[in-house]
Amino acid sequence: MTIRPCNRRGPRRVYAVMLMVAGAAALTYSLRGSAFAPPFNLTEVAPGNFVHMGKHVTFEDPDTDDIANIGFIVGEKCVAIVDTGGSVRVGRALRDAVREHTQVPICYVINTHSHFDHHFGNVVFKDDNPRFVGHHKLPEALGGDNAYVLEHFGRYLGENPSNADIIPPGQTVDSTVELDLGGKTLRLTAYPTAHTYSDLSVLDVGTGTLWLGDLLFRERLPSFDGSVLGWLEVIGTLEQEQGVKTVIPGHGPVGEDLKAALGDEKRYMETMVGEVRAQIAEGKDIDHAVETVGLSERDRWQLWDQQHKRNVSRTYTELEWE
Amino acid sequence: MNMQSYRRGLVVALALIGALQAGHATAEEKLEIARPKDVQSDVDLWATFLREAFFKDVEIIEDKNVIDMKTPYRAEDAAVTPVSITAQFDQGPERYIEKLYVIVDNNPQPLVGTFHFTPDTGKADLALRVRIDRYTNIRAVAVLNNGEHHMVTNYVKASGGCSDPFGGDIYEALRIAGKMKFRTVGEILADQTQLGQFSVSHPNFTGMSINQRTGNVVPPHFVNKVTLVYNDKVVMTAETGISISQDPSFRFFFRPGSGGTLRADIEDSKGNKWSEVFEITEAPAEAATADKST
Repeated sequence: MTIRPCNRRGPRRVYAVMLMVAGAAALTYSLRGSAFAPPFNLTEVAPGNFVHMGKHVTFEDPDTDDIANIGFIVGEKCVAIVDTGGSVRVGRALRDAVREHTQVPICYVINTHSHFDHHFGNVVFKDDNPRFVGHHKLPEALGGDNAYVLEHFGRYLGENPSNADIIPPGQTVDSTVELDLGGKTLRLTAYPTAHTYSDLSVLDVGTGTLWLGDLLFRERLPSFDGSVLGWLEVIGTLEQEQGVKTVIPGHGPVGEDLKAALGDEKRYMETMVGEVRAQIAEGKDIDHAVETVGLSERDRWQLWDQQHKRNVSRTYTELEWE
Repeated sequence: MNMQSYRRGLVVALALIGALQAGHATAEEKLEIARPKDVQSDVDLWATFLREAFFKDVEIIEDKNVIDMKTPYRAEDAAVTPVSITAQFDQGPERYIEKLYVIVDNNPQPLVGTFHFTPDTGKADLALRVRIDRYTNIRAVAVLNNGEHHMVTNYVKASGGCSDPFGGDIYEALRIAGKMKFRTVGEILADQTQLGQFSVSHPNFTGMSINQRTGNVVPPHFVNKVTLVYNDKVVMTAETGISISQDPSFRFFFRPGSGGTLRADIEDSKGNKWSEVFEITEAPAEAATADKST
């Protein structure tokens, strides 16, 4: 890990909070109102760009609301949030972190895509009256009835979660949009279907800091929810980007060399596409593919057992129509 | 979840059984049989409801002498769970499998489909992909031409396959609905049974997922009839429901002989019909292409 967490609370208070929360969790397992323990890590990876690193844990883990990298970018007039975490408690911890650094108003809350671990904290920022910004297809993904997500992950929104707690963007990005934070310009880029069908990146132009959301997974195995072929194309486009000095993935450590950072997921996806294509050509059925494809990658990733077979299944159903 | 709603569910279930007793239920009517609402997941639906609803007064032999079935213990992608059923003998004029029922106990619509075979099928194997809504038993019941029913049962861990948000663009999926693909698997040999895979592009909306653009429940819209005919002889017909995965795909055997045409007729629940004819030649397709290029 290249990131050193910065503890914002004094150690004694941290331990007290940890004990309290552990006790509360053991008793009620309720997340609403619970404070964040252990300390909310935060690192300034480039001037004005603050990242909180998510953990590589499974969906069954109590910290599954804190798996994504999220953060904020501070300008002279405005703060922009980039993803808000997978729960009210993570969103609240992020907002507290912003307020410890600056009193500049939060003008924008940007969501990089539709997965809950990146936007369930949106509701915490409602009273700041920011502009919520996302891909032009993000309203389609979040604006309707989220019954499925509410049933499976609604507990992270509080006791009586409803669609009103899931906040879609008010401003959408068709291709690119620039936001002025005062002395800092952000360039937002919307992509065709890749990780999901609502992927958006955020570039802090001045410092060359690129927030890729889940277009980039490092260490944690990527999850396929859009199109693996589309994703590989987007990786090809990203590799051409010039002037990026810091790259922030949706999961995993921050990097400096964009092309190198993309390398692992690109190799995984190319392996998947190559082997699944070969099995389809040989007439091997999907159940065979799920058991045998991509095994050379197994030791290179975390959360393999949770995600890999599903990725094979989705690759297969995408490629069999080629 | 409480006892009251369970009782309500049972009342609905019993009413349905009553309705079915009034006459012999056809395959299409059986597709209408719904999982009783709000039944607790640990209730054995087969024993309390499905056995009676589907196979009243029929003796069911639980063995693996007629068919066996392979399913994953844990379905990694609940919306696309592979199920393969293997017949233990070739179809012959004396003894053959007439019909296969595939049932997912705990799905909202438990009957995945009814698949009809003939002595011309070669072998009544079937591979398909199903949606699994929650942890469940999945059953295949083979009906022999002498009327015997043989059942195999597997347990599958999976959840969310039926209400899982539609992965992709609904309008694009509807636009390309009805596109078909057929391929033979392996070399084609005359006088042998040949494995083929047929797929049709269709969103197969369950009626339980949500149109994210409008916030409305997407009404059920699914492939409900598949007819595959090879050289004017029926290979397989099927009545299918919402438990079949998006882009329904089936693997089955037929006897290609010295070649011919496979005709596929598809109907969906909104009355759309599509047909396509595939040429089957004895030589593998790749070899035929290579010949042309030289």
